[in-house]
Amino acid sequence: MLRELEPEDAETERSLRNAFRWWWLGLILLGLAFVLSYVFPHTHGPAITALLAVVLGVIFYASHKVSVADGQAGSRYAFDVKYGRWLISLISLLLLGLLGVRNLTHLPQTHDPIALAMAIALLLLPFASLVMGPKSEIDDESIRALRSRALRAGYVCAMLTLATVTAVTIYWPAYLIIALAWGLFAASAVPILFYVALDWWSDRQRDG
Amino acid sequence: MTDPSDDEILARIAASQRVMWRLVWTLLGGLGLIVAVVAALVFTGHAAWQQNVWFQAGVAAVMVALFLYVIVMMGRHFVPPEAAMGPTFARRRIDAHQRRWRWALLSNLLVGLFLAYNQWHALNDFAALGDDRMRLLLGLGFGLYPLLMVAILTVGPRWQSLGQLELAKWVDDEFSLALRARTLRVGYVFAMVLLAAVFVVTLWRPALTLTVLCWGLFAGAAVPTLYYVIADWRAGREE
Repeated sequence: MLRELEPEDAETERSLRNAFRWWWLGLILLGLAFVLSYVFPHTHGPAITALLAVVLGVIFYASHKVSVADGQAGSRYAFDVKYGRWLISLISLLLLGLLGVRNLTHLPQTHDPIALAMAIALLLLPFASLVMGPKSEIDDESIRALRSRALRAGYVCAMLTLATVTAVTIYWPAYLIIALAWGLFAASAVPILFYVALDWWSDRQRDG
Repeated sequence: MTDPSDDEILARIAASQRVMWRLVWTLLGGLGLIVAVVAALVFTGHAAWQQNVWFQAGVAAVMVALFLYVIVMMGRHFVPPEAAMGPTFARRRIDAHQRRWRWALLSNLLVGLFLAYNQWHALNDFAALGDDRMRLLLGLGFGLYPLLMVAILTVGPRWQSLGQLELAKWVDDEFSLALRARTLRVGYVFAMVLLAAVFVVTLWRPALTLTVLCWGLFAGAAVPTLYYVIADWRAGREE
């Protein structure tokens, strides 16, 4: 027979469901931003960056809505909820990075410094989140070890990107902007995906 | 056959160290010689020779050959005795390997700096000649060296003893692992900032893109290398 939810369990569950709802809304807005960037390729500056700010705000708001009831503090469940929150925001930021690539590849037509700064920030956000890691209270030894391996992969990937971009600059200069934009994205995405895969794999090993 | 005494083991470790120093000075001497030759060319009014790409490629080839020679010789002659694997000498052995590792990293830096300068020159010179194939060949040829530096830094002191698992266990201690993790994090942050900077340069000063990439590739390997050496030195590894 299933155990009845304690009041504090129910509170945490409700808060988690709420956070997921906000996350889905963030994803829908992100999709909308993508569609808009294709419909209005030359006016992406004001419209899309404003929408982006909303998306970012919503996602961060959603991640902070997850709260753990006092009775659950320090439990494995509380750890999983907080860790899951960080993983979700990491993947959300990675998706935002895709929009950064989209904007960067259009920058040569606009030469808009604010749009450039926004687009580069979008591409660097997931990387910064991976480097900083989750809150120190849950950043235990196993997470730090996994992150260290992911950062090592990230460094190698970033240097390979630099070498590739050098080759593109010499031989195919017309593709330089595309190579740089996708290279910046790949240098964040590869270690993050590597981290997620390692995390999933170690979870599987632990569960037997 | 009797086991060597402690004094004999210490003497052989010291002899290995002397071999290392000789090789390091050979490398630095080779580099100094090349710098002297180039300086002599400049001061005797033959500076045009310096612009000759084949001269540059030849000097770079000599430098790489010298470096490889030093690496191979280091591996062959730096052989502390088996008895030095005993717990009494553990600290000395680890220190000896770490010291060699730091010198290998610093030598790498010098060769990398030299090759980055050559790469930058050769790319510009072949651009003037309009030879894109040669530019790509030289650009990638010289560009591979920073990637080799990255590989060496990523693998760590074990690079000196690949295939020798027993030795790897000794040299890659917990301290090394922690320091390397910090170093690679610094390297990653620096490389990402560099990529973003290249983007800005490409849009606003496109003529400088190749220069920034050449030196950026070197700096992306050099900054974490220096960070490692300085952090290791500050942590009192020499004590």
